[in-house]
Parts: sequence; structure tokens; C-alpha cells
Amino acid sequence: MDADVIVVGAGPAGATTAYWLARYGRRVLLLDRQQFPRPKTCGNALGPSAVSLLQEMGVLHRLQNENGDLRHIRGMRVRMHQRWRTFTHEGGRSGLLVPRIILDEAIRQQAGAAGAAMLPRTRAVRLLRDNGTVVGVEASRAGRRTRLQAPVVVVACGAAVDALIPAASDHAAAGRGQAVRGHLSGLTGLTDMLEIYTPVTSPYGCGLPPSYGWVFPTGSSTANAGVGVLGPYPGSHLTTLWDTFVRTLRDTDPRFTGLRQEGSPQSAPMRFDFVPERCAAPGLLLVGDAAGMTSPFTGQGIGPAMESGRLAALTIHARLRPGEPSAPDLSDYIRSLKSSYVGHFEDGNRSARRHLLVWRTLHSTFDSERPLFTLGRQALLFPDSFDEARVTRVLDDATGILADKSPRLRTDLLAVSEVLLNAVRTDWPFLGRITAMGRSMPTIPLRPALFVLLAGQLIAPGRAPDSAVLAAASVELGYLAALAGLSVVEESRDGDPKHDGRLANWGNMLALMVGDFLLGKANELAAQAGTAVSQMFSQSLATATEGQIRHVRHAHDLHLTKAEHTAILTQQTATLFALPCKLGALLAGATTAEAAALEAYGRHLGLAFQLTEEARSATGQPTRLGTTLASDLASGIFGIPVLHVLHHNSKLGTRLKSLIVRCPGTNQDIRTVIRLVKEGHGDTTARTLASQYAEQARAALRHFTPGPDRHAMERLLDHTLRPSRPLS
Amino acid sequence: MTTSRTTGEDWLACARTRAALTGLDSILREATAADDALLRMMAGHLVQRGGKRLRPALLLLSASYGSYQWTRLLRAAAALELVHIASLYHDDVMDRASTRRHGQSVNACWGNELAALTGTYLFARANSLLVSLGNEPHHVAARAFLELCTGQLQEVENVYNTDLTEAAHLEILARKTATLFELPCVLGALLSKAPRRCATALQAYGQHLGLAFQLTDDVLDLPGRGRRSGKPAGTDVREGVYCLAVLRAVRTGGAVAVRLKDLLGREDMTVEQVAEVYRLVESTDAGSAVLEVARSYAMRALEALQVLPEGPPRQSMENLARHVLIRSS
Repeated sequence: MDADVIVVGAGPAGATTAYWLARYGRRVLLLDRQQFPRPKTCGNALGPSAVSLLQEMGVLHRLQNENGDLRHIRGMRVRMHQRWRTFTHEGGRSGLLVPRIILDEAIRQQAGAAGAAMLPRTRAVRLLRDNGTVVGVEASRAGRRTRLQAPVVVVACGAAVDALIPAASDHAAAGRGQAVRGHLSGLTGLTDMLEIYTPVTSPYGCGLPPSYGWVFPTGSSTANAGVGVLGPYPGSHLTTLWDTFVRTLRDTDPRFTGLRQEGSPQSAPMRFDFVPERCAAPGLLLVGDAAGMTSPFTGQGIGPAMESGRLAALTIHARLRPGEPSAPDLSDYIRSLKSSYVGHFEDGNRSARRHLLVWRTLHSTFDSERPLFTLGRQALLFPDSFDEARVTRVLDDATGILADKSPRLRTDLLAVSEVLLNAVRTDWPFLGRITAMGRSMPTIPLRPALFVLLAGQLIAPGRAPDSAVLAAASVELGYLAALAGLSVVEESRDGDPKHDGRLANWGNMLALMVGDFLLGKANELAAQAGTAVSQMFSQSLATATEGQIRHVRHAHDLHLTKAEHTAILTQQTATLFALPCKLGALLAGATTAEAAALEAYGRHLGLAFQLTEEARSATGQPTRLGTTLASDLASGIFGIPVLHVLHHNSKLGTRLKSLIVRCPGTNQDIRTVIRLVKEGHGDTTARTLASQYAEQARAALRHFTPGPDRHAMERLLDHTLRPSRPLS
Repeated sequence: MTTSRTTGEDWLACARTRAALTGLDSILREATAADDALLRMMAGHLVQRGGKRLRPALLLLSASYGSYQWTRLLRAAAALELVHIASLYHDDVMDRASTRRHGQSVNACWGNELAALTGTYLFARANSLLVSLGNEPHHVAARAFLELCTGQLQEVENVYNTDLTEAAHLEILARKTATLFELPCVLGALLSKAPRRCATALQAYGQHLGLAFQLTDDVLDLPGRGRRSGKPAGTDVREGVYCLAVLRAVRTGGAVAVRLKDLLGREDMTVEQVAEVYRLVESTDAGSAVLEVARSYAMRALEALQVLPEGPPRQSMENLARHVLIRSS
């Protein structure tokens, strides 16, 4: 044996694999056909999770020592249909922009320092196999062929993987793309944000694969820029596409009128045909771009490449026993890829078609603020900070409340997530990504499942029964379905009654289909959990939907009374909180009185939650539902704070009314609304009401003897009323 | 996106079923009742306009081979009709359809948001009815609804896909359309505790009938075949939903196929190009070949019925299958 592990390719994926294996004390041989350092055609952008990995490996330190200040990236701006959207890394995290000639060399050196042996200018010609098991590689160096043997070979040679492992012919074109990259100078107005432009207007019409462009600032007046396409593209067209992109930048963006191209653009193949199952075979693992782990929407792939290298090293180290004759079982790698990247990259052989569909939806809903599309956009364009997505705040952090004495609860919540993911992952992996958001959060979020489990604990301590896990998963999917359903919008019909020549309404189509699909799954899970669960599920669905319908029909209704508004909230929001409490109680064997008490707790907590959010919105804070006062007023949603001032203060009410009817759009208008609401005590009224409902919820809990479980539920109430983040 | 336009109601040769169906309206009314006046109106919008009640009829007929309680059967029948209507509400929003059953669609009257929500409301009410029948019937129905939704997602996932295989296309049709034909037959057999071989036969009948219906509709809806479907001609092709005739024409080979491959697969088709696609499809024998496929499914539906004892229920179901044979020839 020449080594424990041979790694083919010393880019970020291969070098990361080699580094960790060497750290674990394994003998590693790292091959690359080039001499390092070497340049690489790439966008050079790293997300925060890649940065943390670099830090963990000591590479960040090395980079800082050798190159001084690094270029930090605060987030990404995406331009689509004449409009910018900004995605910012939260929690003090940031990305980096490092030229690959520097980055790759630093990781490789770190691997070497950890003990990995490097063989530069050595090309792997073919894999050596013994009865189907990979046992090494045949390598070529300076024209001389050698056979190198090791129990495990990790292939990390990017898109060049085809030479070693030919792709199945029917998928050869699917999931492949190309990129062209160049360097621009003479730019102004660059910030510490990456810029993505999509689509790049193609001079060849809509028949060709979708494309995007990027401008990643490398200095105050220079940028790394390029275009990527999601499918096969004739070479000459690719150059034209790049020229078009550069010309459009120069001609339409005042910051770029002095734009110059430095050198000639380079092109490189890209792969986004990630299939976890293909990434492991006896004696063989695939990592990084060789595994197809590039985002087809932004082209980013360094982070996933390094993470897959880390996962590969973990698996190999856990499974490889020195001197053992049989090949190690490396299938854990597939499992860890699946759980780390569920839906992150669309896996499976339908991926290329799905990319197109998701692409269409992304484009036709870019202006939409509806939850499904906000969530989807974030997941696709800015997956790195997906866990920080606004919408997850509705499932707020509750660690402080539940304390660490609830490992049981945590286990049960994980079981719920497992059921959820399995329910959607096979048919539609991307939904798995959206569903996974709760699970991938480091802390226990305040989820509907939490209420099912807490209510159950209160009645019967111990592990939640399987039916409760199913019911909890059902409720969570049901709520995701509702979020999707809420994403249906009206379309402007002016001017074109027959809709001729208009594109299909992907937004509404997807909202309904995804909503119905999730609802169908939720309903099926409820059926598995039993008749009683299904019954409550259907009833609550009908009630909450009726509430939502009343909500929509009273949009822009200035005459809606506070009582009517509260009645609507009781049907709509409160039902969604009462259902999981009731289900949890029922499945734990509660008496009728106990179930009623827990239902009342949930209902009142729901009202307290909603009214607190309304007070937040009315004082100009963003809500945990991701809405703002401006977005509420634009959609004609008037909460208690606004209604209170409208109906109970004639002077302020008249001024508020005149402001509201002309749809306040400017910040000035919004500030005035906030001031009027404050003067008229609208926000304090909502908060007082919220406290009253919280008290009723507290009273309902007195049905039960005090104890840690009751205490946890009481603390959830305090948390609900808390005026704003962060939690203690 | 589901289409199923039967003509003539004289297929229902079973007087008892015909009589029982008159009891359906009151259950439907009760199930669509709501405190909110607008919701009541929206939920009842299509229910009141009647329609063929094809699924309820199939359910009642399928229950003829065991013993049953009328009230339970009617509740199930009403539930399936409501789910069908709910799916029409959602379809009409997706298709931007402004008319339905000779009147305005719900979305045309009250907008997309309310139409979509009302569809979901109807589904919830239907589901409550099904749950009241016990866990097994509800679970069977729940699985079928999921099939339906999966089929719709698969269809939209494959828009503009000229390489979609015939098997994959038929699987999508089986899921998104045939499921709602199969389910009434399965539920009827289940609720009446029909003997196993009858239940199996009824299920096969429902599935084949559904496929026969959809395949026939898809061909007869091709522009130039003189039938008016709700949508403007050519919408399907422009939106990338290729029916089997189109997919077959692409595979015929020769100049027609080359030209079709050139035209299809893109979103920016002009009206002229859409028209050319249909002309090209008509110039091949793909349309008649698909009708032949439809007839073979109708024949298989008829064959499945052979297991059942003769009588008005079986006669009615045979009529329905023969009706497809007639339309497709």
C-alpha cells in the first residue's frame, strides 16, 4: 500500500479531505496534475460556513499572515427584472473573497503541514479496480506511469471527473453548465456585497438554458465578473453572452460607465448534477465539484466542496481499519451528504428539469413578498444563511425557555423533523430544504410540534408516542401548506383580457400545487396517526381557512371593529395554536377537561402572540412573521393598534384614515402612521389585550399541578409577550 | 388541469342510483354551510350549478356489490364531489380560467386569493365527511389525494420536456386524473364490503376509465377538432404542457419531428408558431394513434367489469366506458 487514502485533485475539496485525514493520523497521498500555486477560473466567493471551516483548519490564520487583510463580504445583492434584492449575513458572520490561486495554495499547504504528502504534476489516468472495488489509481508523471495503491481513493478533480468515472450517457448533458469569467476595472460604487444579475439577456431568445451574471468586487474599482449557464450552450454563444453582459453593465449602470476588461475571459465547465448515491462506491468517494455540488443559481461551490471533504474524511476515518482485507463500508458518507444537503442541491436525475422549473418560479415571483417565495428565494440564492431566514422567526428560538433539562423534548422534536423530511424528500427534495430549516437551527425553535410535545408531557411525562410524532409532523406540514397557500396573489388584468403572450403564472401555480401537495402529505400523516387526529385536523383546517377568508375579505376595511378583528384572529391564528395543544393532550390520554384546558391555553397564547406582533408592527419593528407596517398597510391589513386609533380617537383617527387610504409608501408616511398610532395609544392597547389573553392562558394552565412542564409552558407565554428580540 | 367532460346523462341505467343521487344535494349544502355569508356563497358557487356528479354516481354504483348504509355512502359521495370541485377551484386559478360550467369561475367573481382559499375550505369539509366514515376509508382517500397532488407537481416539473417518455406521461395522467375515477370505485367497494375480486375489478375499471377519458379529451381538445375547452386554444403548448399526441408527433421522425423539436421546448412561442405546432401534429397520425390508446384503456375497463354480476349498476358502468369508445372513434 502506498497510502491509507489517495486523494485525486488538490483543490479546496481534495485538500480539505487530505487535511482532516492527516490530522486524524492517516497516511494521505494528494495528487494534482498541476504545480501549485496555480490560478483557477472561479468567482472566488466563500460563504460564512466555509469561512468557519477555514478557521477551524487554521487556514484563515495562514491566509491573514501571508496576505494581510482579507476582503470580507457582508452579503449579496441580486438584480432581477430591474429590481435589487439584498441578502445580508446576520449575526456578525461574513463571507470572503479570495483569489483561488491564494486560497487553494493555503489549504494545500495546511494539508501538507498536517502531514499529507503531495504529488504535484501527477495526473490520475484511471482507477484501479479489483472485483469492482477501487484499490488505487494509475498515475502519470512526466510521461511515466505508476500504479499507486490505497484502500480508499477520494476523487476531487472537479469537472474532470468524467475522465475517471464516465457519466451514464443519458444524463451526460443534464446538470452540466459552463461559466465564463473575466476581470473588470474602472468601476465605481462597489461595496462589500456580491452582486448577481439574473437572467443575462441572451441575444438568442428564450430557447437556451437560463443564465446569470456576477460582479464580485475585488477592490474599490475592480471586480471578478462572469456569466454562468445552466445547461449545454454552444461555445461561440457563450462568448457572445459574456460580451452582452459586459455591455449591458456598462450601458445601463452609471457605476460602470468607465468599465474596462482586463485580459481575455476564461471559460470553465460546471457541474450541478449532485446525486448523493453516486458519491460513494466500494473504495471510492466523490467530493466537491466532482460530486456536482455547485449551486445552479449562483454558481457557488467552494463551501460545499470543503464541507463534503470534511464529511468524507470523517467517514473514512471512522470506517477504515488498517490491515483489514475487505474494503471499508463508506455508505455513511451518502447518509451524511443527504442530511446535510437535503434539497440544497436538487438531487436525483430529475434535477435538471426541476432547476428549470425553480428558475421560472424564482423569476416570476421575484417581486412577491409572499412567504413561500420569500423562503424559496432565500433558500436558492442565499442558502448559506438560510438558517437565518426571516420566516424562521415565526418558529422562534426557545432554548432559554425550555432550559437544557429537556433532552427528551429535543429527541422528540428531532423525530418529528425526521418524519417531516422523509415525507417530502423523495418527491420534491427542495421542499425538504424548506422543511429542514427548523432542524438545521442549532437551537430548539418554537414550532407547532413543540406544543404537541409539551402538552403531551404535561399529561403523561416520558417519551412521546409514535402517534404524537406523526401528528406533530402533520401539523407542521399543514402550516407550511398554509404558508404556500397564502402565496396566491391576484394578477393585474389590465390591458390584456385574453392574457395572450403573457408568461404562465408560475407563482400561483407553484403556490397552489406545493400547498396542495404539502396539505395532502399532512392529511396522510394525520390519517396514519388515527381518526381522532384526522378529525381535529380537518376541523381546524376548515376553521382556520374560514378565518383567513374573512381576513382577506376585510382587507382595506376601515370600518372593521376591534371585536370583529379579534373574532377573525380567534378563528385564524388562535386555531393554529390551539390545534397542536389539543392533539398533544389527546394523544397522551388526557381527560376531556384537561384537553379543554390545553386547548384554551393554545388559543389564548395564539391571540397574545398575534396581538404582540401587531403592536410590534405598529411601532415600526419587524415582526416575527417577517411583515412590516408598510407591508401590512399595503395589503390592507389593519391590526388592533390601527383600528383602535381609527375608531376611538376622532381627531387622530381622521388623520390616520386620510393617510391610510392613499396607501402610504414613503418612510415619511410610515413614520407619521407610527406617531399617530403611538399618540392614540394603539400599540399599548394591543399590548394590554395581549397580556389579558396571556393571563387567560396562564389561568388555563392552573388546571394542572405546578412542575417543570407547566413552568415551561408558562415561560412560553412570557416569551410570546416579549417586546422584541433578542431572547435572554 | 383536470378535464372530464362527459356528455349525456342517460348512461346511468341504474334507477336506484339515480334516485339516491337526488339526496346528494342536501348533504352538499350542509357540508358547504359556513357562518360567513360570502364564504357560503363562494363554497356553493359550483355545487349549485350541478354538473355531472360522475364521481358520486361511480361510488354509488360500485357499492352495489355488497351491503351498505345509504347515509354513509352518500356522505362519501358528497365528499368526493366536494374534492372534485375543490380541485376545479384551484385549477381555475392556475389556468386563469374565467368560466366554468357555463358560468363565471369563482376566481373570476371573487379573485384568486379567495378562490384558492375556498377550494382549501371545501377540501377540509370533504375531509371531515370522510373522517366520519372511519379510519380506513379516510386513509384510502388521503393516499389518493396525495397521488393527485404528486401527479400535478410531476406534470409541472416536466413542462417543455419533449423527451418525456410515454410511460412517464401516462403515469402522470394516472395520478392526476385517473385517481379521482379510481377512488370512488375503491371507496364504494370498501364501504359496502364488496368481495375482494369485485373490489379489484372496480379499481381496475376506475383507473382505466380515467385514463381513457383523459386521453380522449386531450386529443379532442386539440385546436381544429371543433371542441371548445375552457382555455384559449394553444395555451397548453405555449405553457409547455404537451399531451400524448404532441409527444408522439415529436417521435415520428422525419421532417415533421425535426421542425417540432425546433418549435417546442421554449417559452417564447408566437401565436403562429403555436398554430404551426398543431398543424404539424395533425399532419401525423399521432392524434388517431392516441385515440386508439384511449380505446384500448376503455376496452380494459370494460373487461374488468366482466367479473361483476350483471344488472343495472354494471350496465351503467359499461355505458360510461362505451361512451368513451364512441367519442374516440
